[in-house]
Amino acid sequence: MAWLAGSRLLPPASHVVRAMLDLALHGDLLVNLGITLLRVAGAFVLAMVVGSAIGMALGIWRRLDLAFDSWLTILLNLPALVSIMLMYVWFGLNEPTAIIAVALNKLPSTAVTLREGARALDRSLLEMARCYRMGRWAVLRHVILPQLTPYFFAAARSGLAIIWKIVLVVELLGRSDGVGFAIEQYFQLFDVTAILAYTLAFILVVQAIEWGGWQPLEHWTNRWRR
Amino acid sequence: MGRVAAFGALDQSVAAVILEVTIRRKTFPGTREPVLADLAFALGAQEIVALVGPSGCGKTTLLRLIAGLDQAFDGKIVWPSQNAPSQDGQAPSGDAPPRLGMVFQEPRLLPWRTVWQNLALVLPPGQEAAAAALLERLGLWAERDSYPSRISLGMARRVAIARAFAVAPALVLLDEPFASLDASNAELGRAVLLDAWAARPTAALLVTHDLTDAAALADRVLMLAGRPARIVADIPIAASERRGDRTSVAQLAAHLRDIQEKSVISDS
Repeated sequence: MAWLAGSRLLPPASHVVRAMLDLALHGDLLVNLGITLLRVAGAFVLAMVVGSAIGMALGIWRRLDLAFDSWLTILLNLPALVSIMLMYVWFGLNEPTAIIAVALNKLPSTAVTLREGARALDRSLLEMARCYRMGRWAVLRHVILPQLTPYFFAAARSGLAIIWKIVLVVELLGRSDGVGFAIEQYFQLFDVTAILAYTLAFILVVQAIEWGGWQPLEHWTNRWRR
Repeated sequence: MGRVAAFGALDQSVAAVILEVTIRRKTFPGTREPVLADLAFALGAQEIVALVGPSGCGKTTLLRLIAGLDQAFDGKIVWPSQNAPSQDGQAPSGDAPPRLGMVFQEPRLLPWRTVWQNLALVLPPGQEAAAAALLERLGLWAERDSYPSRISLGMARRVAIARAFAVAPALVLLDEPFASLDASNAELGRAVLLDAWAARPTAALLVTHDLTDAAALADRVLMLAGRPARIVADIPIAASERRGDRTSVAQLAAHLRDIQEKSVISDS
């Protein structure tokens, strides 16, 4: 492995950082990153909203769970590559298909996580809500959703990581822009520095979302805890 | 204990009946022995009735049937319509239960909502000012913006009592509201309950195993015993003996204990 060190196949960190800044200022990095982030955001919102709704429904209604449990297992175990290719073949190489294909890969695990949360709902509080005749919407908002918050955060964190990885595959297979497309081009040139520069840029964005997004949000939703 | 006898025990000054309970049988799924059987009583408007009996005899089950939380039983819960309150403008109708206030064994406040939000979320329209006044009166106003985890258990129980009365109920159901409180906190809880009741007189059904609770609060005491549980004694408290000072409460509690011991013996 010694031959790797110092070669252009394993560039030092300083080179990667410099390449990242260079690509950001003079190259397409920011454009590609922006396009990929939009796809990530679209797929993330879609997977979280639909996955959470399905998961909650399955957790609350036992019969629904029995009917759809095996479907969830199939989706959960379907390789990302297969689902992406099938979506492209069936619905064409276009933007909505790309986003739905990504969302489809995150959706089942979100549903499974939220299903666990919905199964663990505190019945005593639901009884209280019933005694006091809280409306359906009020029960959802004030009794059910606050109990699901930790599950929601767990799904969101792992979701962002999975989605970003899958978006690159989707871009590589069927898009002509975005980080995945760019990385594939640098791969043709064996330009490891540029590949790592793109990776670093995205990791920085995800870390910023963690610090500036999830952590303050989680802190805020947990303000009632001791 | 027949229904006629139960009605006969109603205080004369409280003529209007708001609730008639007739339980022929309540059995839990998977068990053969019923928990409750052949049990009937009625409740007058603004009457405080204590339902006492040993732990595990089915008191809470009975309360859950009345609250509508458990509908799998043989019998009838009737809310005579002429007395169903129409504070929210709805025409009172037949068997539909009126608005209930419920105080569970645990406070059951939403931990992620403040004291005030816990009340506001269940208030019928237009009751905000009265609810705020009630919190003020019960000494809870200062804690209105606190989360339930930051107040003591005794205080959380008082908030639960305030919530039950704040919804302008026709009937308040209380399930061992002072259980697991020490004597002085339980006494404070009883005072708060009476205070809330004075501000908002309603019928109240108090389930308790503690005869002191019954002696300190009730207009009438129903004793539940046996397996399946039945009403073994229906004791109206004379107007002069109700809600007395500490000494007279203790005397009344002792008197109730005598009756309970005798009725349990004659029952078995």
